[in-house]
Amino acid sequence: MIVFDSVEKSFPKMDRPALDALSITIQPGKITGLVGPDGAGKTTMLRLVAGLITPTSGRVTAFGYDTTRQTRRVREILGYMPQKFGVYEDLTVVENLNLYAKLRNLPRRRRRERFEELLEFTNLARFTKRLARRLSGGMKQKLALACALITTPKILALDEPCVGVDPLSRRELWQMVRSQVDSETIVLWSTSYLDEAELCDETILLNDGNLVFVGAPKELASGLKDRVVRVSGVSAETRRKYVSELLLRPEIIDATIQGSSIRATLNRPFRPQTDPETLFDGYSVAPTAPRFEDGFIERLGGATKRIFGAERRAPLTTRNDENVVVADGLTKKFGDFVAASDISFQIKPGVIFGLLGANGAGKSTTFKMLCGLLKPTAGDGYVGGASLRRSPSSARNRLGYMAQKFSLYSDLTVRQNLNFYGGVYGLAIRERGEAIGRALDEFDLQRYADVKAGTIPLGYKQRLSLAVATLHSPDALFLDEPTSGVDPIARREFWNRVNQYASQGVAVLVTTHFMDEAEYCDRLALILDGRKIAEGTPDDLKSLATSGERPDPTLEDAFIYLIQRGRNEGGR
Amino acid sequence: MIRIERLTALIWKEWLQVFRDPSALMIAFLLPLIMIFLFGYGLSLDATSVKLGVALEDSSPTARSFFNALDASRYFSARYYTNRADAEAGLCDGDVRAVLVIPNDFSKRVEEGTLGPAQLLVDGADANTALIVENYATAAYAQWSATRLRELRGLDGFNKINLETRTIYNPEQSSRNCLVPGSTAIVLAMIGTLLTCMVVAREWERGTMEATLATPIGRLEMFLGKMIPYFLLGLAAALENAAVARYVLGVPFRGSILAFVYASGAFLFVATAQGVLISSVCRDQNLASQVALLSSFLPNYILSGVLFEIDAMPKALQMITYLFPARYYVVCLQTIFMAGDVWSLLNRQIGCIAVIGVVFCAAAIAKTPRRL
Repeated sequence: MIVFDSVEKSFPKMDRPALDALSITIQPGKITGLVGPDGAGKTTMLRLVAGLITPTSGRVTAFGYDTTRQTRRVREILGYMPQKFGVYEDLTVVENLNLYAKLRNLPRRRRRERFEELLEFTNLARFTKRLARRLSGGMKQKLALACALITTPKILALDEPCVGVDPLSRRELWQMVRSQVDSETIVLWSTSYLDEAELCDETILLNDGNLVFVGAPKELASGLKDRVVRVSGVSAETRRKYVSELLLRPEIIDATIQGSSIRATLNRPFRPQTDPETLFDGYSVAPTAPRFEDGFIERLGGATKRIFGAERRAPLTTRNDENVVVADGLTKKFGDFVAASDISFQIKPGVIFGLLGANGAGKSTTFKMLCGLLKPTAGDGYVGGASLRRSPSSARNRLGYMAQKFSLYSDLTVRQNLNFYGGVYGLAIRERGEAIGRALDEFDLQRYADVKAGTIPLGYKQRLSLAVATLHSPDALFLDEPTSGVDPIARREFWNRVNQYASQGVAVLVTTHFMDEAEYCDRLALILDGRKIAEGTPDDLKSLATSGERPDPTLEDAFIYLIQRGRNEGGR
Repeated sequence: MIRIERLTALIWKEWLQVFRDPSALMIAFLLPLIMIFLFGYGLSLDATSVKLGVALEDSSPTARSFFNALDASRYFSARYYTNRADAEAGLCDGDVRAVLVIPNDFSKRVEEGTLGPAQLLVDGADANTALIVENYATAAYAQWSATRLRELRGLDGFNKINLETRTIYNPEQSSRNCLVPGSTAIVLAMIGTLLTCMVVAREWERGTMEATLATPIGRLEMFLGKMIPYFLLGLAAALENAAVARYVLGVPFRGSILAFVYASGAFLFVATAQGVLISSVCRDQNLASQVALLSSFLPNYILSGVLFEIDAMPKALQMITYLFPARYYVVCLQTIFMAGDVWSLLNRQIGCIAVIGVVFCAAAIAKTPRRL
């Protein structure tokens, strides 16, 4: 077993410890999930186990070995897969295996047999001579897993193995790891996907370096039995508004859109006789099974209760019945490689449109073409009627773009950033001053107004990015994986703001790899290998995958089904 | 504790990566070629066909013959001016690099047997060329007047002592013969330090270092696994350099391959250890390459004595050159190429390099990470 004994880990230049007084015992024979948003302390825990960093105070032991003083002993029984690909990209699959076999002292006579086993099991047998660089994201992760498993380790430490991996590969990775667990193995699996936590046997839930919960994932949600409900029959036009109204009611601690219905958590058990009338305005309400995420939100004190979004000042330049964003056969080739092929879709005002796909599928390429950052090889895109080919700057002026990474000026203060971008978007001085004042109030940035943007907390950076993107009241809002790395409360808040913009008629294009976030979208397009393989509302896509053995598929089931169908049609 | 299998696995991996990475191959094999050709053809410290203005205020046949003698020399291309003012204007405009003024009593003085004073005006903007021009012009004048006097008065008149100069090791006194061997030091500093530290820093950036560190690999294995491949690569580049110098550029190679490998090995020992040390501290390709340029390439370029004479440097700077191995290595190279295997000299120089190498190695091993 692994024991954390009042472990604290601080890093220089950080205002609070990455892990704070953590005492915990991890038992073998199960998959233990380290769950939490980025910066919660998951990677720190894994690196402490591997002896890659040493605790500031306290002690970590693994099967009796002190990970600081007996590092080599620990590493002999450890399989470790870092968050960035741990495989050598310039080496082939089999060269990678060979390297790790030697580094980990796998006896020569057992190598052949073990390689065959691992190649078979990861489905990489066909690609042994291929450079790791040329593998897809999912295959790379499987190779990294095979490298970590090469000596059948007693501790398998996996740092976010499923980030950016398509849902099918993700499911396969889970099956692979599951098959490796025996009564003596400890598997540590870190993830920021809360739905993935439910697959673990045991979860350690962290937030901001603090332990929120330890136990079986079901236990976290079980406290919410009879408190989670599904509200259906709310029309698409009023749904978003209704969510923010619900959130203001004292009995409701959380509410989100889930496809065509609304999911809400109460602070007391649901009363089927009276609640639909008194609390839910006569809509049809049915209790539903609580999820891990519901439990997390409850532990963190519930979603923020306030109304987001002030009145829009500038009227939309697009008429109500026109498409705000149009992708018309967008194609991008890099040499021989087709990153995006003939991608078309339209987004009407007030619609949130989700672009889904694994890393490298082509969603970022499509996104960049629509932002005017990348010139399409063929096809065209329109924003507010302006062509990205012919008048890219006027098209760009009608959209607000929020990049995946924090891409504002770290050395400028919050106010200076807003001022600069207000200028870039061509706001006149007085108009700019008003817009900045409004943004500072609306996004609660007042207290950081004169602080350098690089030093404010992650959640606030994200708010600032959104504030900058909406400063010029754009017709369309483009969000590239906007919520990666922030805690679920901040994610709720973020989506409530985005919902506000959508209900004012702004068209929103969003990429995400959080499945639950895909449910917040009105329409979704699924991108696989550079092609759009499906488009529709979340419920449409789910119904495509409905079958006898799967009467009520989740969105993830639907994606796996569609990916498999897409691959088959793709002639593989 | 070193396990040979682990170490060879690391070295093999490094080789595979280098040979699959065009940029690494370019640094290892193309860069030496570019450098050696630059040093061989592009850079010359010899001044030939320097534009020299001659103001002939004396138009006698004697003075003209001096002018012709100057123009015929391969060091000068002489330009004729009738008076001093025109010549000075030419110097100002940069038409000529120096002006030699032959006064109107020149031939009279020569006939009288007194070496007449002639004025030399040199454009000092380029100090190096100015010095060379000054020396050449003075020598040319002295030689011409000596010959002239002999003609006039017979052999017994002047020059009782006839100084005959013989240059050994580099009889043509060609700067190429001295620069090209020296360039090997600069090339090896690039490969040994720059390539090594960039490759290691890249492993940090890509996250492969984290995965490798989490294996039971030891500090010494990690260090040697990085150092040995680039040491061998550097040695290959050194031999490539020597071959090109010898067979393409025609620089003499009077020593033995053994001595060359011995000296180059010692120098590479320092350079690669320094590369590993930099990458352990920097972990970022940009930063690592900056540090490598500042701490290895530039000092080796400027303070090694290849381009700039160490004895001409200020005392303080001279002391600093003792800290850089290039100083010793350049002496070895020039000795091996020009003179041959002078073991007493080589051993002393290589001993100094080895001392520096041990210091760098100890620092690099101590800094080789076992944790993040």
